[in-house]
Amino acid sequence: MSSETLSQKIAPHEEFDGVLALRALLRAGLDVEVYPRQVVYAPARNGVDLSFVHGIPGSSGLGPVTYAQDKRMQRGLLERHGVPVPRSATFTMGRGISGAKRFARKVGYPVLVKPAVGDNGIETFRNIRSSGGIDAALDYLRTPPSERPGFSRAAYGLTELREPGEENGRIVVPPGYMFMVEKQLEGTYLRVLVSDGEVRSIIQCEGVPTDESFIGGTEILGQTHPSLNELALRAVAALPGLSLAAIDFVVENPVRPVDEQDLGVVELSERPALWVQARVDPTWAEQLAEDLVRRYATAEGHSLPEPRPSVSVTLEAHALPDATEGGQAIVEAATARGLQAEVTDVDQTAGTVYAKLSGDAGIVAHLVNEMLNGSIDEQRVMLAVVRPS
Amino acid sequence: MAHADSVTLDRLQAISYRSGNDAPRGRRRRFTNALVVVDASGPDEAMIRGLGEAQFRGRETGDRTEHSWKFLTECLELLHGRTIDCRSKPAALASIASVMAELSRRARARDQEWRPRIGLDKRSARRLMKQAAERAGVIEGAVPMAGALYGVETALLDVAARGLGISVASLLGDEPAPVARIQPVSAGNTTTAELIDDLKARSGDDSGDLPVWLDFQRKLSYSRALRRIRAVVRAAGRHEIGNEIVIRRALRFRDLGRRPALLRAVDEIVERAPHPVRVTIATDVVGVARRLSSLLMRRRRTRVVVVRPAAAGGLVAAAGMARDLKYAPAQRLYISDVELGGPIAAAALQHLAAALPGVQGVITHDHHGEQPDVVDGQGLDIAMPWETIVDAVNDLAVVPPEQAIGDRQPNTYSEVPFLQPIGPNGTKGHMMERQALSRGMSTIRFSKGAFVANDGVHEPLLFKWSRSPLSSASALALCTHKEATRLRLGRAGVPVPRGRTFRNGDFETARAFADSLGYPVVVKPAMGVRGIGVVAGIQDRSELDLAFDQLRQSKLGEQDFIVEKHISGKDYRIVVVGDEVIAAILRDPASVVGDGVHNVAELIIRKNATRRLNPHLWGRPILFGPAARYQLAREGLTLESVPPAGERVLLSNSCSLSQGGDSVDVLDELHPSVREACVAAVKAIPGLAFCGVDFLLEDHRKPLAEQEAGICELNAHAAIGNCEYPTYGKPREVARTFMDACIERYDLDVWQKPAEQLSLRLVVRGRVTGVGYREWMRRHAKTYGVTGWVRNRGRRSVEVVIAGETVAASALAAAAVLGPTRARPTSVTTEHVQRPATSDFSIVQRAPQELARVQ
Repeated sequence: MSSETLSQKIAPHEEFDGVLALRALLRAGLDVEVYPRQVVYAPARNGVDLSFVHGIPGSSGLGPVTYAQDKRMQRGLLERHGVPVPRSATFTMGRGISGAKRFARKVGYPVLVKPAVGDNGIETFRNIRSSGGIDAALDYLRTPPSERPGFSRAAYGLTELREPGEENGRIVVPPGYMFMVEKQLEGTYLRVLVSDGEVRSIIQCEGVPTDESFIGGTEILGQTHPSLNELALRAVAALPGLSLAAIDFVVENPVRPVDEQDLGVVELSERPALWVQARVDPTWAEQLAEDLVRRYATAEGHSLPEPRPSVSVTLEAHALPDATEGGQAIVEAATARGLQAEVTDVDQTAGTVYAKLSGDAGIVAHLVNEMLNGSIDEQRVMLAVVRPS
Repeated sequence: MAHADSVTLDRLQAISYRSGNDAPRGRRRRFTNALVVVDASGPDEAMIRGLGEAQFRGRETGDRTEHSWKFLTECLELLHGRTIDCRSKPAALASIASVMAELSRRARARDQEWRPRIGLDKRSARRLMKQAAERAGVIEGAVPMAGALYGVETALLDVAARGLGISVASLLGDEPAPVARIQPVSAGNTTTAELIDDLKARSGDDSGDLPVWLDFQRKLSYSRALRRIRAVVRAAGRHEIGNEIVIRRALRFRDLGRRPALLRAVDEIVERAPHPVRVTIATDVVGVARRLSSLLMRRRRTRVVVVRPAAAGGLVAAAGMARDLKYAPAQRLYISDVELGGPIAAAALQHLAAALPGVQGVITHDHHGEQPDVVDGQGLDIAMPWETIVDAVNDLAVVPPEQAIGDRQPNTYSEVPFLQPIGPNGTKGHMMERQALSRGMSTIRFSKGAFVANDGVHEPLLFKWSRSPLSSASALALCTHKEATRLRLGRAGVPVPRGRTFRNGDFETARAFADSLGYPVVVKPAMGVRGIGVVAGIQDRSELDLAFDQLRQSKLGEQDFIVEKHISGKDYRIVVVGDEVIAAILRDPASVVGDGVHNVAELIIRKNATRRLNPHLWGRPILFGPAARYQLAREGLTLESVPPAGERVLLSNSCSLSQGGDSVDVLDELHPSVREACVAAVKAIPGLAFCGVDFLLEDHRKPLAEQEAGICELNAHAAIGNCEYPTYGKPREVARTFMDACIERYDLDVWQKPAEQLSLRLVVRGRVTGVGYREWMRRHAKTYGVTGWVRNRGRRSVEVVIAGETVAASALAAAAVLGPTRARPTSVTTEHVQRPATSDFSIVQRAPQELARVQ
């Protein structure tokens, strides 16, 4: 199957990287264990297991991803490394709203409003041109994240432990909840993927790559001014311990030297965020994912065999609430997606289904991901063990 | 007791406690009160207990909590062994007046001594002007330490009245008569619309024709107060609320000078109102403004006068003031408490009001239950309010000092005062930074939990709490999912409670599964919260069916559910770094041990006092909530029960240290098989370099094969302080070992041994000028015993040089990211410098010397 259909099928962007990484592992013929929230282990035959979460290799440290998710600290580090960033400040919902409006007036509208902590690029309100616009954005952000429709949080994200507040009977975020106001930069968005100290992809975007205005783009790796690549590497070096990062620049002109134009880093995500590349060229996104996995495996001392396009695997799906029903649902879903599938055994008491699957590695990866996120007939598998047969 | 000629003050206690409530929009009001407990004896050696409540309310009572507490404990020392003459009422009052005069003199002296030195900057000049204005009677002021003196005097009056066999009201007046309580509507932290809605709802109550009392809480500016009054008058015109309104504390301090204008404006509003309405702005009278008070009383517009004993420095002073007021018949006198006072102070006010002829009512902010008997009762006729204070105690002072309770004494740690400014959870991030600094690394701090450590050679390391670069993001993602953790560990052969999730309603499969597991089992909802629907210790099929029924009927009955093997072991937290177990504690549920003397409440307060000397537990006291009430009721005890010596009273069934549990170091006793299982568990999760393993064990000394045991959770960002600062047993250097592992992994270029003394230069950026940052730093540096200086570097930056012991200097560096209330530091850069040549800490304009950086 082409990954165009794969990327169309995987609606939630936040799961896209995880599926591509799983696909790459299956194509390399590795055994994999898949746990909820896209945690994937590939037991190594010679020592260290490979591990991933949301497609991020285990070589990305916990401290660094936490900094990447905190926009104030991330900006602080970028600035100290001489990376230009738009003027921004963070405020608390309880006491900072008037300060936020003063700040917006000071830096000049238009501004952006976004949560200060969490996944990069999500829930960003752009083109705010008045204090009324700030109020409207904050009205949305006042709803506790867990209550916001479609909200997602990385599996390693910070959990809100503070008690929520209440306003006129409405449950709202705690008064200490922080948001960021940022001067909106005008120009072209570039999405730059950096891994292992190299720039791997630069997409010149049509629209903003993190919202619905994004309609496509062009891969311009090798066509930009070298100083831009250097700046991207410097940005990632500001958060040491990230094995990869997706950086959004807003620039005037990608081919001009960076010190001859107004530009800034507006997002730096610890995720590969390959759905952006997939919108430009699905095969390119798959190649990048495969390459990220292989580089990580090599660094950990593994030598992976040549990738195979289609796979035959055995599946153990563990901890299904109703294994008999679950087995049937899995086979039906697999067959509907063009895979060959059969249940070989069911342990109803233990809640385990044993099955065989064969077909395109991408579809198998996608199916396994759905088993874990509960979207196959609400059957939520707690562990899928997939082995080449 | 029989009437005594005099009583001797044998034992005195002060118990400071937090009193707070939640105001609208998440604004918390919090104050400190202190109960004064005086045990006195007469010639027949019968004990009399007198109670009073000190109230520290900043400039409202002339107190600063820290200073007033110190002063209060000095008062206890001074009073110890003194006698109160109880031959007659005048003799008792004279005896108390003499003691109080001595204490008041000391209060004034201490106030002078402890008041911050006044510099020449703008802020200080403003403060000086304010003080001058207070003294001239232009704005309010209070007797120094009035709130503290009030508590002491009340307790002495209570003792004397009990010695005389009469009520405090009878001691203070000749013909006491009960006076009504009035509870004003708090109208300072609310919007006008909310206030009117609130008043409308109340007007349906049985308040009848009584005036509506509104308390603007000194929150409103002149124009806001006036707008609010107009709105209230309009509502009265629409008959939505009563037409007689009294407003107190109408203006914020800054606008007090506009009070005459407000009175004129209110008169105009009332005159123009189409319906008859009466609005009165109450006049609060305080101690030092006596001349002003008399002046106000002569004014035509002064109709309602409010006397606050807490601001006057005591009941006797307030009574004298009320008697001195030459008020006209049209003027009415009220006695008022301060906000968030406790039941003892409320009782004291009732007695004062009853003793004074002509008092119209007692204004009380909070409801304090039944009124005490002010006529025939003894003393204040109120018992110790244990329920109110037992889990809110900050500090305890006893004179003469008492022996520690029990044989086993909890650990106390001298660094607590250094760590308190960074909050109860501050140690988690700070302890790693302390290690980094002590090994010569420089740091950048962004919040009290997050810092970057740099050896100047290699890439910096990023930390937030115990989220380090050593562990991987994927390891945390797995560990925060319980079912995934169980499956992963189970596959690695590590003991876990066996169990699995079942679809809602699939009880048949679950029964078969429980049979195959073997009883006892636990049933719980798949995504449970707060223990809803959880049934543990299920012994057989019939109990299992009962548990299913209970689950079905619970709020979470619609969920899938888990059946799991029940392990009836104790709760252990075992810390693993790399391949090594480096710390292990047993977590015991909250409890106290009796001594045959103190009651349960006193034991809790004493235990919490020792918890306050533990950096990890000072913000985690034993709480007197539903769990503690349930446990006490089960054992047939109350807070007043006195458990026999050596008897352990359980106060919770949870082992959580946050719920008041104790930690006991057991590392050296850990059986090798337990250690091996912990290391195996951590190794089963790729990228997990630091982990707190939660292990249920019957006995940590026994081999795993000989007991029921299971790992129920892995914490990839576990707390560090719980093993560094155990309640009992040997503290373990978790942070040091963790940092050593980082140093080894990244081959960092650091000092071989941790330094015991540090000299640091901090650059603090953000809103740090014009907010009292330098003065805040100077005060803390003095308290921490470090030397150096602080200076402004620019509009948004301050430079601080500190030199001193590592524990103190690094803690101050961590606290620097918080600063005083109005400051908003965004980052603090800390680097090592040469030791400064100074033996003091001062605020300077220019750095007195150039300090070279030390690598």
